[in-house]
Amino acid sequence: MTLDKLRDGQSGVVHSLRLDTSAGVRLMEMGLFEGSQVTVLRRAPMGDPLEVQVGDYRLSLRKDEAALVRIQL
Amino acid sequence: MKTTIALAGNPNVGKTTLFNALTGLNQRTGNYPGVTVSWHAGAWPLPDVEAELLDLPGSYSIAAHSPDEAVVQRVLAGEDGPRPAALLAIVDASNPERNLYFLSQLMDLGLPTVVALNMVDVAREHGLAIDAAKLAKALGCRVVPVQANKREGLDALAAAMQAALADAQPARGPGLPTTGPAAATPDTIRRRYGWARQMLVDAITRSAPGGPRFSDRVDRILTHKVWGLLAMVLLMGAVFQSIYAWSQPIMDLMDFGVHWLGAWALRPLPEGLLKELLGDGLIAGAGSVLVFVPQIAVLFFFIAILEDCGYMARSAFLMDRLFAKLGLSGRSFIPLLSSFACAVPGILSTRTIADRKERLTAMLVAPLMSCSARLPIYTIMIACFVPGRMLLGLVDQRALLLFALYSLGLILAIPVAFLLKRSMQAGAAPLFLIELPGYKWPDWRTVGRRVYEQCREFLTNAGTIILAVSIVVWALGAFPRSAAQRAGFSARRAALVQSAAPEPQVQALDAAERSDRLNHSYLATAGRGIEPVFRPLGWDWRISMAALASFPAREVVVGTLGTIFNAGGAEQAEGGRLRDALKGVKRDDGQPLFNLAVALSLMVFFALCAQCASTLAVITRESGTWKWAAFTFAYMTVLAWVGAALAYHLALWMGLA
Repeated sequence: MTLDKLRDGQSGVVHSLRLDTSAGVRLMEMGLFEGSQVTVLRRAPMGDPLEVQVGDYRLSLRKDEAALVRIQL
Repeated sequence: MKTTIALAGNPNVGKTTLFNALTGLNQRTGNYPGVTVSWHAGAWPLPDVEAELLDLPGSYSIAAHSPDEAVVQRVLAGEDGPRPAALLAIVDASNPERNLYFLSQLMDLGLPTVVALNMVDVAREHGLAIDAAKLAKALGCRVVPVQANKREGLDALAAAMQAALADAQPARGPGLPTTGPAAATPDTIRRRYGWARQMLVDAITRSAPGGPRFSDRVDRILTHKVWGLLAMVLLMGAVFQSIYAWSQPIMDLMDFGVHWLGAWALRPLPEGLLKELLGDGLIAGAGSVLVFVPQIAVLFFFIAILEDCGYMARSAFLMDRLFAKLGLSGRSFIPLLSSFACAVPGILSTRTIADRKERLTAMLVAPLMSCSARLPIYTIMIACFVPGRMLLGLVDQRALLLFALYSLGLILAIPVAFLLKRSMQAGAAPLFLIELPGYKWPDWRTVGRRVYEQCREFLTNAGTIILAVSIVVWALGAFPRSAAQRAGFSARRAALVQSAAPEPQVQALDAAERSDRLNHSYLATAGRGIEPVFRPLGWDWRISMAALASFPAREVVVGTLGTIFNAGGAEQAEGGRLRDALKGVKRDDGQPLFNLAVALSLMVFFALCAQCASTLAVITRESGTWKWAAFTFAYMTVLAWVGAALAYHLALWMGLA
């Protein structure tokens, strides 16, 4: 399952990232890498972007970017 | 020789607040070469050293993904001037891991480093306690807890920096690459985060936070699918209204003040060229610069508050989907909305957009938004040539037309932004990764500082260009002057004075002279020359001349029409004199010059054209090259011409003339 598929309020642990784009590296630098705990908090009015809790802070990212992150529930 | 100390840290950790608290009001600003990032520097009074603190742009990583981001690395490595003697790194105690990731990169650069541990109170609220002494031991450098917003811990920070400068011990991070492709490989990132956790192991204590956080409760409303949008509409409506309502009286007052001051200062001068140059060229030009200041101040007052309290990121979050379709992001929302009041502050506010291509796109479509300077031409044309009639018994067709004119630029901005963004898009799509920081009370010094700086920068940079353009256009309208005509008017004036004619008659003669002079000026010659270009729009040489004369600012077109048709200045226009004059003007073949079709073509032209030297000056300044301003002028003029021609011929075809 990828991060964009999580329901609002659902948590998971990052399993892996697609690193073939620079976006993947960016996400890692922001603290989303193997073993990080993430929670989807909510979605914007039109369903995109998402607001997620990563570590101690909140990050907003688009569905396309969230789809790069594989999650283990 | 001053000792330079660099200040670096993540965005949203109170870096600007700390910078302002340490340096006070004595700051210098400028731009880094080749990028759109500005720098700030200010004196930091340390006990025994004359130090200057250099505020670096907030960043999440030192590994550059764009030239703008490379600034931090370049400055700290000493590639942009002398290498700083020491580094002050600010760390958010409520989000230690990600902050220590960046710190690991900073420390690997090997400068003597002091860590300012900020937002300790927020961390405590979140159930996070960090022992500064233990963290200092782990990091091997000085760590000082501070509360930048309350100005606490600043003396201890100064003492620590003084000591760090004295023993000049280079910092040592995990010893991983900081430049080149190796700086941001997955392996490097994992190892840096591993180091961050290791540094925190002994220093951090986590306890369960008590109850939901304040920010969470606020966010449940402000980012809600329904309430969040409603709150945003209300908030933006209030901001927008304030730009109009608060700045209009100040603008009117300034306008009045400038005119009064001009008249007073020039009274002792004899009538003639010098007085005209100073009055109509210099003072009127300065007035047209100053008139933007209230709008810039009001808008940036709100932007600074919204940014500092954390709402700006939420508005981008809420609006992103809509703007994503144009290839932009939610970050473009506020700059484009602001441009409906005035494109100048709107373009300045694109600085809040991190992605350079997106910022440029937003900057180039911002002038399409129908700003308040378009209103005078809309009002006068609608009042003169559009009959008031209720459509479907619901809405006045004049109101509908006004609404259509306001929508026109917005609608055209959609394909323009799409095409611009596509043509600029080489390779990867930009990311929309933004942090949603916890809400906090804005720091008023930071807000005040932002407003002051924005106004000062506008006046010193764009202001000079606008002034120069105003004087050139004045000169084109004032020359050549024929001695015979002047003598003729002087004789008539003398005769009037002799016969003790009433004042209005003398004023009418003055107006007639102004009109006569303009109609024989270089500008008139240019108007005749360019007439064939504007003929498909239904214009004659006089309207063409008015369009040329309004290059510095589109709102002057009304006053210029008044002068051309000898109907007095803009003041009389509202009184109906201009209206009567416009209706009475004939073409060479005896047909009335103005009709509904011509009025529509004029309005559409001014809705879409880039007749605003201020906007072009600000685009030049903000994009770093005049080429983008030239491009904006070109594409908008083409759009305006095509739109006006279509409007004119459509109106003729529908028999509206």
